[in-house]
Amino acid sequence: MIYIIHIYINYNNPPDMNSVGEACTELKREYDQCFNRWFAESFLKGERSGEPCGDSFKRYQLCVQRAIKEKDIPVDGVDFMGPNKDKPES
Amino acid sequence: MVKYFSNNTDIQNAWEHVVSAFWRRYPNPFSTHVLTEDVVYREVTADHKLLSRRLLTKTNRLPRWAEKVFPTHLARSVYIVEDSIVDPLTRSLTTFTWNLNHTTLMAVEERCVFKESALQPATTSVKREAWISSGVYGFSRPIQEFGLARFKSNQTKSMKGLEHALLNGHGMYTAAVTGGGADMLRLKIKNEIIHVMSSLRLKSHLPIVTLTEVPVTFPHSVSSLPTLDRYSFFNPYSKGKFFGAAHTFNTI
Repeated sequence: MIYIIHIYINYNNPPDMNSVGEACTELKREYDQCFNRWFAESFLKGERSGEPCGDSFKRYQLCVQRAIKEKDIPVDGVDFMGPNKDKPES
Repeated sequence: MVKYFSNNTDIQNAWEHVVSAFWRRYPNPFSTHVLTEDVVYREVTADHKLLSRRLLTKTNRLPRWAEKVFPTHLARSVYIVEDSIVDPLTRSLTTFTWNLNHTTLMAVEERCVFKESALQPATTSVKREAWISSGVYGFSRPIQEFGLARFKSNQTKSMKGLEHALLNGHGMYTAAVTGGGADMLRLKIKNEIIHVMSSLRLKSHLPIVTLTEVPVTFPHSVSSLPTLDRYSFFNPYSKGKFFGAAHTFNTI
């Protein structure tokens, strides 16, 4: 008789990182938790089902994008992987 | 004048663990200079890649001689953009990181590729490259040297931070044991759990001292699986409550 064991390890109470928008830290935490679970349990395993974190992401983004504007952080209009374009392939 | 720096290293952990830890590496004891962290863009592409952008703010730590010469730069933190692509098919994570402001003083661009090792099992190879430059006339050389020294120090901190996040494993691990009586089975399961913990390098914690059979709340993806027994365990010596659970089901 062979038993297959699934072992779950979850370290509780990881400390939180602040958001650049002070009011957004809780929303960020909620989204991060959802994302981390989806990433490890679905995305990496090749599951193509839709990402379940859309709602919490929207709420978080509304908050953080406003903070970015208020603080004049020049991140808008920066191309994805922009500076990588002029670098030779590794 | 651009200074280029590159190095290769191996992390003794499976690629999936490294990539999961990549998202969880802040805060850590080596990242006190990182003040804030935010995901500001995320997309899953049609070919199943994950694109993300993180915005970080860090304290601007200049050597004292630079502080005297550039006092205005002390006021604002440094804004860092980290763009990344996770490709679960080719088992690679590529990141590109650069600073948005203070670029005249110093521009640091870094590219990292984390790839599942082709040669060694449960190992991830990391290639890091950096391009460091300064646009300040007359101070270019000392600033670049400082930038390179600080980059190397940050690189060490960054790897330590990633390893720290790897210790706080979150996920499911599979093992197989052959059965005997219920007591023997419990002992074997306990040993498997200890083995998983040490493979995650949780050696700083004492081994599990209690293995109890209690109803536990499993992650939703699991609770529908058929089970024979469920075990939960905790380590009373760890600071945060360390929770783990195991369930078994028959084969053969």
